[in-house]
Amino acid sequence: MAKNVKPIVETPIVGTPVIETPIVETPVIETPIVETPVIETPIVETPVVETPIVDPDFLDQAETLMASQNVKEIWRCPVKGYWFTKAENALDHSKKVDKSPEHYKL
Amino acid sequence: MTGLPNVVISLVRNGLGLVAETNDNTVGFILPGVAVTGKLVLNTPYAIYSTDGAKALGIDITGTNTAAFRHISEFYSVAPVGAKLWIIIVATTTKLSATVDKDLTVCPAKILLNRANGEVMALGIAVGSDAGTTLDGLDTEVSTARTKGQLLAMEYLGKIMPFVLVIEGRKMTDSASLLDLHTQTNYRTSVGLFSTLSDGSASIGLVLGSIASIPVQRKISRIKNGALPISTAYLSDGVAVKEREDLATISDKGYIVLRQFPNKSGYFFNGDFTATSLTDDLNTIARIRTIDKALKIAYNTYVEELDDDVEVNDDGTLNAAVAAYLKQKIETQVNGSMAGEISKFSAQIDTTVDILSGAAQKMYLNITPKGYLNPIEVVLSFVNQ
Repeated sequence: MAKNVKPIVETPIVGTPVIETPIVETPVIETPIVETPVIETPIVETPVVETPIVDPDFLDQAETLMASQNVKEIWRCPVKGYWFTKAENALDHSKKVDKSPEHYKL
Repeated sequence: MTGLPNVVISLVRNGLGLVAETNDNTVGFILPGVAVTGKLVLNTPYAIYSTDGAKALGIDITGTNTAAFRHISEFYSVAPVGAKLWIIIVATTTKLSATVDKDLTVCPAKILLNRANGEVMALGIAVGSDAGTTLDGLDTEVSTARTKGQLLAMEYLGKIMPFVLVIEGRKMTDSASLLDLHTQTNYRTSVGLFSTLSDGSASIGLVLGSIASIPVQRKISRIKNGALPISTAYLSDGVAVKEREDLATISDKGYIVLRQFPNKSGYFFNGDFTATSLTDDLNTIARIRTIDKALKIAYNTYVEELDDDVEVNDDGTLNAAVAAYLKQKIETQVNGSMAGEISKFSAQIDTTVDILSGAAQKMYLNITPKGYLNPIEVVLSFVNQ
């Protein structure tokens, strides 16, 4: 016996129509950036009170030298004991001996 | 009638326009030493004319005054025998500044200058004792002597006894620490750092000897003067000149040192700097000697006119004829005495001063000095003829 063959009925595919919704661009409202003014707080520098390095044992000699050389400040190398009437010479020398000079003032 | 008629003759004694001589080459030297019984007293000036004169005072190459003899013999190695040298021996403990401190009860420089009565136009100071401390790269006494020496020189300038002070730059430590003398105002002082010995001293006798042997306008560093009669040279840090690379630095700072030239034997001075700004007209010993000579001539010329009664105009100003006479007088004197030492000289007499009112009669003397070939720039190239 022949088997019953059921015919295949092809259901046509009905496409659902796509309704294209137009894209409405929402206008961007640009909010102006209001800069908040920065209030600058002035930095008050605390004055550095420079304490000259001195050796009390040489104060008298420093005063004598300042008087004889007619200068108001003088430097001394604590390593070699050399005196200087010019800061630049004292600082140059201090680099050689790797030690800050003593600084005496009237 | 006043007796029998006769012919009266007056002698005119200024018709030749003779010019007064000035002592242009006499120097003084303060030296360390000890007294020699019957021969030499400390702090007492002596005039000598050769090393024999020093020996006669007990200053010789052996004995207790060898340091002084060394300086004197170095002086006469450059200056000719017969050159007058005023010396004064101070104790070996005397410091440099004490030799020129005018406020001290015993100031050797004042004793010597007064005794020489204006003859000394350059004064050297060398000692045998140090401060024991170092200031600005030299013994502390060097700087103090410079300050005090300038004060003394200004005092004597006012007395018409001008001089320039040559200081022994003792015990140098390093060239970097040296003070730039061109920042100073001690224009009548110079510092010599060179030595024939490596003992921390300085041979300023060579500077003084050179000054004593050349005319006022001439620099001691003039190469045509010839090389110095020495075989070795050091600076007062004991390092030989020929081994140094810092001579230019030291020279730029205004110190007198010795130098050599390629392909030329011997040692020469680097200059004759004084401790003052490079813009100062009197920043060399030669310029100071030149102006000092003119100063002495001007003084000697016009001191004879002091308090003379002269014709004046109705407004009290000097009569033109008298002004012309005063102008001619100084021009004759300076041009006569300084021929070859200056380029040009002119005088102006201010004829607007009312001298009847007691105002000082002003005169302006203008000297054009000699120039110096320094530096010399040569442009050398090949050419295709």
